[in-house]
Amino acid sequence: MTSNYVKLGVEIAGVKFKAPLLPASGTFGVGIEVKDVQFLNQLPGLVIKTLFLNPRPGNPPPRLYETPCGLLNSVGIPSEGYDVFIEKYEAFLSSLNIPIIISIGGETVEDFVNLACLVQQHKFVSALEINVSCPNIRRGKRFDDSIADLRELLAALRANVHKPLFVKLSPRTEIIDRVSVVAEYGGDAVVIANTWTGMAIDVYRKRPVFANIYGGLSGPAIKPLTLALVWQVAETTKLPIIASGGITRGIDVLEYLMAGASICQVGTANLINYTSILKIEQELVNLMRDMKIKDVVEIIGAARRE
Amino acid sequence: MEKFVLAKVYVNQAIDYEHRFLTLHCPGLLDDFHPGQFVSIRCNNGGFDPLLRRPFSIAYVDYNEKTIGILYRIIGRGTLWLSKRYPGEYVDLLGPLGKGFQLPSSGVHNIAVVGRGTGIASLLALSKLAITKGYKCYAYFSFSSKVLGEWILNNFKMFFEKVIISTDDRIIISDILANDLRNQYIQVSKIYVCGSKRLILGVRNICSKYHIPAEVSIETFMGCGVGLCKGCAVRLRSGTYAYACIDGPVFDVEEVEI
Repeated sequence: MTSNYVKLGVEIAGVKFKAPLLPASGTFGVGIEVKDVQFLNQLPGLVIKTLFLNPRPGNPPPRLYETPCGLLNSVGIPSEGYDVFIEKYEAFLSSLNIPIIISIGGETVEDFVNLACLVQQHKFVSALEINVSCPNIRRGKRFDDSIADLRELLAALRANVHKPLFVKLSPRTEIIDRVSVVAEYGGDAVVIANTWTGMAIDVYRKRPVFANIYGGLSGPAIKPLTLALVWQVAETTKLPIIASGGITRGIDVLEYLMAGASICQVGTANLINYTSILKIEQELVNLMRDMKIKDVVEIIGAARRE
Repeated sequence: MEKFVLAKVYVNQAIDYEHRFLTLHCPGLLDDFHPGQFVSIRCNNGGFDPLLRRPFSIAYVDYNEKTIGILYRIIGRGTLWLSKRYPGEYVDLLGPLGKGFQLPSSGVHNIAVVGRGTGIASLLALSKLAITKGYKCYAYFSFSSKVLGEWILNNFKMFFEKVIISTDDRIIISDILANDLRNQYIQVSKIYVCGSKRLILGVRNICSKYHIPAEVSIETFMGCGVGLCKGCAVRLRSGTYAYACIDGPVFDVEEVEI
């Protein structure tokens, strides 16, 4: 094992991950698409594509638009709904030996709470990621746009959910206020951050490329932006930070950890190569050996220390 | 199952100023191949611009040489990068991906393939399989490039009982197939199409008129190519979505909304 020389393990809210890397929700489906259970069991964990209580078709095509070093998506979270999801995937997910985080979405507080209560009953679920930040549902309007809505949601979730809650926020300058709400209402970690809102225009048709107008920008293009957010959030909160934004290499993970993140999510890189996480993990190990870092926990926030 | 391979460039032949035929050596990838499937190529030198892999239909498989052939047009940064790969270089390839064509299990052992431009690529692979299984194959191809049309004729005419190639944009090649069926010049038990919207709609009309089943290979933007990102949605006539990378790229022509 590569980790003989360096310790990669991290723990968030009692969930143990053997390395500080996870796939980002929406870029790894349910995992079953990869068809290779042996490979999946080598991952430090799995974050399932956002699940809704009821089936949703997702947005009409086109759903993707490539930008320089980035990807705009307007996928719109197609979901089979809870009942079909459990029927189709429970046996598969239960057969894996890694922590499984289910990302959940909803359009109302009631939707979120009902789904969270159903999801948390399943043994294979280690934690819930609360997706309050998808820009692709209501013409760019996100659940965490309103602090009052976020407060109401988290209060209701915490009152009903005993499994760890990781709250995935939208990138924005006022993110600190949202992080405070998550801390105040008992969230166990924040995911910084979802995709950045962007758009593209088809000049020949004189119309936005996406039917929903806006899309979410991801990929290496956004890494400096999200890194700055992680830095700002780490300054003001003691909550563990799960960083997500343009991670494609081991050195990106080190940057995010040094800025204050405890664990990183790899998203768009999975679409180029679904084995990216293992490659990034190996690069991280090599870097840590070169830099004589013995334990990944040592470097969390290292760039902030005086 | 799909594999990641580093495939060696054998030839990257320029057919005309914008069309190329790329031959890649990729042993180990051919055993699971079925015509209609595609490969996904990382069109950069290990960097992230262009970011995503590009999907290409497999046009030809040589089991002796262990090579695949890809017919492509230079339309953007990815294909421009690919056009500059020289023999001996390697490209990062994932495949074979998707579900391919199904040959007809009943009826006469004749099929028709209808395509336009580089859309004919997967039809070439299908035609090769069809003749080895004893089917007669009638081809109706249209090209905007005369040079490409001649090149296809010179290199692939041995697969076909009859080939009609049009380089006149005013002619809809499916109309010629319709005419041949109407006059009973040919009889086919299945039609395969890949190309423009009007061509696919033309084939759909033929199918309903003559009660012949048909399959279409859909060309669309793709993200991961393996079903993870849900980016390549294809709207079905039932009102739901399917995904070109895992549910297709081959669909029943009656099933998809064109």
